[in-house]
Amino acid sequence: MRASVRFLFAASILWLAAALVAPAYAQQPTTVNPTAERVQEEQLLKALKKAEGRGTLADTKSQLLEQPAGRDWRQFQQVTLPWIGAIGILGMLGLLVLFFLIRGMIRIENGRSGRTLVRFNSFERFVHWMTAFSFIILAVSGLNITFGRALLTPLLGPETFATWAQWAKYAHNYLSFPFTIGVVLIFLMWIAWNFPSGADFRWIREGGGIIGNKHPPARRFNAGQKVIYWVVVLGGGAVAVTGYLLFFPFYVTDMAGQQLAHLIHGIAGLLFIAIMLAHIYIGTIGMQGAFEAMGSGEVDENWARQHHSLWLEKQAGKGRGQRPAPAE
Amino acid sequence: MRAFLVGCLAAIVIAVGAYAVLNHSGYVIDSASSVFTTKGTRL
Repeated sequence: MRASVRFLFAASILWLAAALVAPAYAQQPTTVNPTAERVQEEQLLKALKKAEGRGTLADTKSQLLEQPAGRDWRQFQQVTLPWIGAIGILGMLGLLVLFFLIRGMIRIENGRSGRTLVRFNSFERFVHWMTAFSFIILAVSGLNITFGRALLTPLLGPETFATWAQWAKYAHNYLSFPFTIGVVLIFLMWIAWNFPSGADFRWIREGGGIIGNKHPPARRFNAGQKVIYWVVVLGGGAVAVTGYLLFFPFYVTDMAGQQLAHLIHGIAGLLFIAIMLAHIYIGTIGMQGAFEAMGSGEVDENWARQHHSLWLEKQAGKGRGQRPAPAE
Repeated sequence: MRAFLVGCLAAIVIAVGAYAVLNHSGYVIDSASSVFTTKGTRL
């Protein structure tokens, strides 16, 4: 009996000692170094280019937790792209103002002849204006995505800006369709006149009649207009394709593809706007008689002789044009 | 300027038509919020 009491007493002492020692042991510093774990995570991110988990959502993209490429994309979207846009667009506006102050409007040197010829038919003008109208809304709503929050929120307030931005985004999405149709029609309609020719090199060498006072011969489209044509076709094609990749996300590309599409869409779109400013300038206040080509569709014979002499000769050979201008 | 007016009108008609078709088809039209959705399905 005394032996069993001694055994129970010894067992109780041991249990008590173990109970007291265990928490103290648990409070000992662990061997895991959090800093070292962080280093491992960075190494893993560098090696795998992403950190993924597991989830129950049907969309596996939601399981992507972290990717260094996302930080690069955010830096591009928030810093690089606005700088490209600001330099491109403000730089072009500055150049055009400077050019206008130095050169002024390019006049029809011999004055109007009173005879006109058809430069663009109704269908060509319809396609041009459908594309131009879509482009202007796309440009304004696109610039709003890049610059709107910073520039307009202080003026409009957050709620008004949010409403405007939502409508601008809808316009941006859906006016892409007439714009794309227009770009395709422009490509098909004018491709025959937009391959480089020998006359283009002379036109460029002589400043195209824009820089200096020479008026080098040109066919239906001069080298400058051919550049605009290819900017519209290739640049417009690039923004359309990348825009639809963003509009219909993940149908064709993965996350990296979406980020690349956004990068191309942003850069091409902003440079496209900058170049179109030059096109709008020369088609309106930059050159007397130019707007009529897309307005009424008819240009003065002296304008055609000054800027598109080879085209005028060809039209005369076909017996087209040179009719009296309509009475005003 | 008839070509200008018809061109602008055509752009608006095509845009509204595209909106109607895509909206009617049930496609997720708000691409900004569809980043984490599957094709054509809002989660």
